[in-house]
Amino acid sequence: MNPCLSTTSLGAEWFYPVIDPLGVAGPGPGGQWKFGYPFRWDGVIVSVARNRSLSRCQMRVELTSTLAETKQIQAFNYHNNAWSDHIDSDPTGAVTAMTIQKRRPGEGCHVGTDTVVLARATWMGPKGMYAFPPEDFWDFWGGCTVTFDWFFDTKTDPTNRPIGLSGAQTPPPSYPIVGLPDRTLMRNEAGTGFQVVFGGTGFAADDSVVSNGVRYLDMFDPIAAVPFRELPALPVDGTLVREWNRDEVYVVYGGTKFHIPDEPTLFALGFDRTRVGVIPPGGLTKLVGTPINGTLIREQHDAWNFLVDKHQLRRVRSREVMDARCLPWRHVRIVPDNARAGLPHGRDLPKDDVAEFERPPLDPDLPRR
Amino acid sequence: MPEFSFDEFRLDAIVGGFYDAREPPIAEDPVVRHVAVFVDGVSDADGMGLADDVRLLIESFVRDPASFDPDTPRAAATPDPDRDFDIALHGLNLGPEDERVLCRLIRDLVAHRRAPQRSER
Repeated sequence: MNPCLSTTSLGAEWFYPVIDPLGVAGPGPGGQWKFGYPFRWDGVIVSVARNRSLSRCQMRVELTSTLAETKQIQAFNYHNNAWSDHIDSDPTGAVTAMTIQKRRPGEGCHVGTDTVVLARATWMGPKGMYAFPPEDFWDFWGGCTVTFDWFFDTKTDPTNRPIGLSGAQTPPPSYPIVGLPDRTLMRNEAGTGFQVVFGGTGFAADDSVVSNGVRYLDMFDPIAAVPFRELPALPVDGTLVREWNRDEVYVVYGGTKFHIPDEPTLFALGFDRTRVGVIPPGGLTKLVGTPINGTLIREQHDAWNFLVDKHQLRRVRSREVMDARCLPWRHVRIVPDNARAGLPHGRDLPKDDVAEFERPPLDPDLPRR
Repeated sequence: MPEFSFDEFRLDAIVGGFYDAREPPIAEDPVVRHVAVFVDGVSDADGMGLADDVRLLIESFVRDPASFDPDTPRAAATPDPDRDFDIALHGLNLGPEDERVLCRLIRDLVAHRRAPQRSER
């Protein structure tokens, strides 16, 4: 297969950043991330949830809207400069859906979906185009159900006043994205105690531990505590923590702690002491023993990437396996040497195991308009 | 017309910002339309920054096609038909001759980028 190089009739001003869910604390209570997109003339909520029925080379795209004007999502191929599939909104709000597939190594340039284009389906043809850069689109949302809730448009506004910035004016996201900043003191749900926020999640502060006459919460002003709000269960990837009155520093990936043995390792991993959050005593018990499924890790001086699949680490034997499975290189988390030692390991990840990862699209009876 | 707001949604993040009519619009070059370039199926070593380089070439070409020599190659590229690019140029509104020249310039650029790596193999 020859490599593909394409330009598109889609203007660069209509490409909006794709948010990387792994840079966002969560997912929240609903098991999905929710991102608000104030597009140039439209308001859309994008919900992203991992879908274990899909490989990372697939994506289920859903559209819902109760707006009178029909909205459309097109599965767009750059090389063809055309869409190969599309869904239209149902003004009753019913969900319409399609499953799209990324081009795989070995497939021609005319095959597969590079990105999706959101458009208003007017009598003059599609209007108000919004799209996403293909690499980010697949790296970040591949293997997910992505639901577009198109809840607002400016169709009835005679002034045609924009509500958002153009894609070209929209700055890239700044990570990590968390609901509350580090060291925020928050009341607990019962209102009887406190949590302290690090990496977007709350760590319960046990005030019974006294060290040298000092309690952990002495470092905070209870007057400044914010009311309780539900936060993600696990800290965002890359959060550095140390329990109060303990020396051991950990980096958190996939909700699991990885011990950083010394300062040279801390620096070699691209961190420094200033980023280490001091969490309450016992706070590490909040973390999970095995990284969440889909986490990619590699030890500092190891040649192999490992994918967490069904709560086991599975070795990714080659670059070809990474590419064939659409596993994003930028999501490989570098951990200290020997960090894998205590984690459960499974068999190597094969290049193709269709039966395991690629089942038919979900809900084939859903309307496609 | 109803006012736009995300208030009723519990969001993890908001992408971008809201239009503010009081702020002057960001000046955009009325002549040069920024081009979205997509490169797929190349190794990291070949592909690093390639799309950006091609985009800059295309934008320069679209701005002033006459400033590019239609015949002189940029680099003496070794023919490598097995690893040629499939190039599709959409949305540039070029004539057939300009498109032919631009395609050749892109191939020269890609060959130039790949040449050092080939000589190492």
